[in-house]
Amino acid sequence: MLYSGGTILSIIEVPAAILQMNTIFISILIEALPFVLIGVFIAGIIQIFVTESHVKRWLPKNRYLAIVSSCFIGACFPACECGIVPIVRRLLGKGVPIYAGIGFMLTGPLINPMVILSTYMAFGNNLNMAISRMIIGFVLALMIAFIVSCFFRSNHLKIPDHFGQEHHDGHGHHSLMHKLKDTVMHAIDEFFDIGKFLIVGALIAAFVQTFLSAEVLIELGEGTASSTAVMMALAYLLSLCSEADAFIGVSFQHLFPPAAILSFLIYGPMLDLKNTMMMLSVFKARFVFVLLIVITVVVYGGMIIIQTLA
Amino acid sequence: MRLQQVFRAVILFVFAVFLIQLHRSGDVFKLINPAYVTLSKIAGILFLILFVAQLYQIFVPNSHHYNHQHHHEASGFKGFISYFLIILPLFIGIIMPFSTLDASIAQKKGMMVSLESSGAGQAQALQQQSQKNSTIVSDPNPPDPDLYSNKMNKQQYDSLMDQLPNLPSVELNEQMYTAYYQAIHNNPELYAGKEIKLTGFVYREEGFSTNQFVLGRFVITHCVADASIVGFLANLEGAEKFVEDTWMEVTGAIYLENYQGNILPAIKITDGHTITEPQQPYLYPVSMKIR
Repeated sequence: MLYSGGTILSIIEVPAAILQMNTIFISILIEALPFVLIGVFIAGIIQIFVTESHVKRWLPKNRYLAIVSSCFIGACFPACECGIVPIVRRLLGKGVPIYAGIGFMLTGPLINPMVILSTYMAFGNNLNMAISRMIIGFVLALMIAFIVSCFFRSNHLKIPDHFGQEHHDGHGHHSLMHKLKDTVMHAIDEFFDIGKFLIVGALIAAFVQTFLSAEVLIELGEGTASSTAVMMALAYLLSLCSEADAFIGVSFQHLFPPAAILSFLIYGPMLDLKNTMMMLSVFKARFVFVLLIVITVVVYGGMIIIQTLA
Repeated sequence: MRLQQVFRAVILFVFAVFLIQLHRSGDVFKLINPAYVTLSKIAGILFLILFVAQLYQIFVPNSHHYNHQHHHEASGFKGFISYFLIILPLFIGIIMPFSTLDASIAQKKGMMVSLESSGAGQAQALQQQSQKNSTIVSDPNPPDPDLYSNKMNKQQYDSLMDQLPNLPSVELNEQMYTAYYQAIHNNPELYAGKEIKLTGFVYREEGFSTNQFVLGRFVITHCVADASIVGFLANLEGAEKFVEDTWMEVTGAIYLENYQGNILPAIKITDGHTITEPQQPYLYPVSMKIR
């Protein structure tokens, strides 16, 4: 036996809070790993089987059309925020423009059947929240992708040249077996690249959950503007999976107005501690920072405007 | 270079073994909702596939030349740090025991805030109902049947829920806890005076009287990181002898408590005794067979 179920240290006195933090840390990883592994496999498949000429043929040349179609493809693509990052990296490496990649990355975890179903169930079989989440989230994602398209043209990948323009591209003589093996080897690379960032993200999220009191944050939230800000801050810090966040969101239902809950449900899948770390594995830090600001401002501003109009 | 490949193979293998061992020992239930266990097993299999591919890469090294791109990445200090981070969860997971979420986490999550908010919501809902009494006939926020229908069909669930208001005594078991909890919080007046039986851990907050504590449970949707809190404020003579995080089984009567301006369904305990922490301390929003 390699180990005995994690009890070696039980002889030594470890502070209870540390054990709690470790448990939350490992649980976030155990929850995320299946999605991340599926993500890296899909990324591997994209790397080996999709060529740049495919991308050129499939994606509209027109910038606006490309943004709309990337957000739409993301909405149809069942992914979560951990799994989608390696996929986006490969797509950008294959020549997908940055704004289209971002559109895809934002709508992928936000709008998919699992998320809609869990939102519907969490809010007592009430479709309103699920539909608002889908439609408003989609519109905000379009706006973010559009803003990104105005400011960024190159792909802003950390290691721009190594990805995409691979020597296997177009080598038709490789056998399928060979290609499959390459797919798995790329998945391994991807796992080791992304894995460390996922782990740091999970560790910070676990630390926050163990040592930061949400109660203090909640008490700050009075009125529309501050309750929306509080819910967005919670969404960022808690780093919940988009399939589970509706059940947490609903527990604030009677504390905060629906629009604040909605901003929690829309902002969380787009951006949180865990996926900020993962984005840092893919993009240059400066780009991640700007994207963080753009997403935050657009979601916050959008939700405030909606609340004023409603 | 070769050494690094071997190292990667070892890491992938240990990840696979770690996951398999979590499932074999049942420790995985301390981390995630049983609904996601199959998905986690798939992760174990994927790690094994990656491991086999990595082995192949080691023993047939020149089968492929693609690795050149990663030379610079994992060398020196940076490489050391990245492998250290990858190993960290394995290290922690193997040497440290997993603990059950406790009262300190309940406090961080704002236990009383969530209990109060269900009460406030109920008041709000009642208000709305009285305002639009002619139009709203059904409960404005009915508990969701699908949520629990994983192993229970809708008829079973509905009949259980229909019986609830007429039962002289309510037992909050693992399967129906969250559904009954929601029903009681939505209409506390309907349940005031009824006998109730439940288990939970003791939790206290500043401002509680010596006879007061909360008997709480964590509800896990996906993993323990998304735990939310349910529970009842309880009243018992001499409650101070039960320290926080003690697990108790109590029987008592539901009454309406005015806690800081919010009406909450609370429990006047008639019989309470400590128990050992249950094998399955968490509740799940979707009911299912566990093992």
